Amino acid sequence: MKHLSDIEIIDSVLQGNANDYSLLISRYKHKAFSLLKRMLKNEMDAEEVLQDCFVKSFFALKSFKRKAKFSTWFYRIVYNSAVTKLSGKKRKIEQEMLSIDDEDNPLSLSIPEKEFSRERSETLSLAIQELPENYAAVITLFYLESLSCEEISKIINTSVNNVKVLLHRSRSALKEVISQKHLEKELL
Amino acid sequence: MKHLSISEFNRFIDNELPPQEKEAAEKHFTECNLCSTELQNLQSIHSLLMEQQEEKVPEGIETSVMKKIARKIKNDKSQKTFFGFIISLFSVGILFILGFAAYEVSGKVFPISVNDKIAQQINLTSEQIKSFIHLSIGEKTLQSFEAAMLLFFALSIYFIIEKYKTIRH
Ligand SMILES: [Zn+2]
Repeated sequence: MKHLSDIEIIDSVLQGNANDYSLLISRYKHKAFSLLKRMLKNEMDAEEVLQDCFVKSFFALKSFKRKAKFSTWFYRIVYNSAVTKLSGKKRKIEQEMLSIDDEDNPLSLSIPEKEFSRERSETLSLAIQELPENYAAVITLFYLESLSCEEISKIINTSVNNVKVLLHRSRSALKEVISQKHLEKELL
Repeated sequence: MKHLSISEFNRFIDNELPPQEKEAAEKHFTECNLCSTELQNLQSIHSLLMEQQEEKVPEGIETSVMKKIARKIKNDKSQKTFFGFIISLFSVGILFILGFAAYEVSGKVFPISVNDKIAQQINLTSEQIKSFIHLSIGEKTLQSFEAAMLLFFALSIYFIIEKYKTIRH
């Protein structure tokens, strides 16, 4: 079977072959999942939001303007859904903190030390998950999805310069995490 | 030359420094231990990030998404039919209420008129229709039918409001 472009698949879906949409899902599922997991820092939430994003984008396909790349458009949906999910979560945590005066802070999402005894790639992914969500997003979009700073700026809705600053800061922050968790030997 | 700033380090790695500055930085790295160590650190982070792997989503997401989509399409369709039904109920209700109103006031609309002849004619006809309805179905039946129609009308308004609320959500 010949390799269809994103646009060809979208045309086919819009012509009524709804099942072709699963080709697009297969194409983007792992990358979008990586972005979500690193931003949400939770695998179950990431999978749930990812499914919602695919459903949302299916019904929004008609409004997709072909000037942009599908990937940019889709990652925008993914990024915004993650931000929405996070703001809901934070509100919930704040409410819980108001109702129960808990002494340990549920906002810190730190990973127990013992979990860092896995494969290198998994360790790295856990270290990235330690970063604030916008750092994790920029690092994932830049390195894993190989997007340009310009494309990233469209996805997270900020200036190109801001993306560069975020990228610089997230590298330094990752370095911090690695040294804090004593992962230099394992990773560097 | 001073030590490099964080931004300069990063731009060096991303190859974004203008040639002159790049050259100066390279020269500085040979002279300054501090900066060359920092560069090595950042470069190792950079290459570490280059080789990162994507996270694998559990199997079967295609099927569950396509199922969700199919369910949503079906739901939307049945909601549309339901909404159409409510709208027709609403219009039938309005028609009947107008009919009843006309029935109630018939014969009284033109007690005094500019044009006596026409008024008389209309009043006479409506009086006849009224007595015909009265004879054929009876006032009681008509009244209960009227009440039922009012109830239908109120119900359809309730459904429309509910629908509007869910749309807004
Ligand atoms: Zn120096």
